[in-house]
Amino acid sequence: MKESNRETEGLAYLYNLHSYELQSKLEETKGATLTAVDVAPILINGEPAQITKLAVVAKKKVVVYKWVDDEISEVTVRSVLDRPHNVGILIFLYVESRTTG
Amino acid sequence: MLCLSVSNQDNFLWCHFLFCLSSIIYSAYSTFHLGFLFPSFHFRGPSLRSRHPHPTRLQSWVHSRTVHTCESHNTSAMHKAFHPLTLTLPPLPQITCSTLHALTLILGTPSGQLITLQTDPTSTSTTITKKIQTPSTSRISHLTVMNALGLLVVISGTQLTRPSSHERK
Repeated sequence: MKESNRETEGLAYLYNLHSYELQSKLEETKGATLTAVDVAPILINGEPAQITKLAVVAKKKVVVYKWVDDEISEVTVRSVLDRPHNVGILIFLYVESRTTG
Repeated sequence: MLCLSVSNQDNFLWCHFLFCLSSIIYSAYSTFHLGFLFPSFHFRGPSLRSRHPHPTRLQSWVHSRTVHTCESHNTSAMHKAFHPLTLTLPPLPQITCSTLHALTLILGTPSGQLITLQTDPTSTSTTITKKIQTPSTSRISHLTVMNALGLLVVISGTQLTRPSSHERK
């Protein structure tokens, strides 16, 4: 009996939400399958600002992009033992990245 | 000046009339929930949509290439009630994923198209307002909205068929 593994070799892209114009291609996310977004208000030198984090699961790694207001400030890549298969695991990893990063 | 010209007895009768009237209105409100007398009172049930044309939240998911949507109302701070919402959907190509932005539903297709469906909450009909082909013709497998940045995260890529270990032997 023949068996085959069907696998999606995805890549994450950022599009303008309103015009659908391509903004950027997230090259670090080859093999992307899942994403999660978190937005949190913070104070920088007493001024209110907003931190947006995007976590992308790509094979056996989680790539976290961090924006302060609308400027990207940090990209971190974390390796995991096995490929996360659901958003619950992703959120767990993402919470960890929030507390440590 | 008008009040001064009214006698004490008339004044008493006038106050009595007002008291009785307010009692009648209050008891009618308590018994029959007469929302029209108290515009801030919110009806529950089927008339909710007509009084609140914008649903609190729409939930959607894709299953078997069909978009399912339901409406969620906040009935209390701790409890949400989900009511099925029948939407009249236009003919759609095969849908692989979806996400929501305000009252629009963004859909992805196996050929790399992004489709926007706008819902009219008063008639609950839905129309395609935008349909574009992304630079990639690959299957869109995941969509996420980043409202704060005005960005849409799209995961797209080709589906690979890899031989199993059995085949490799």
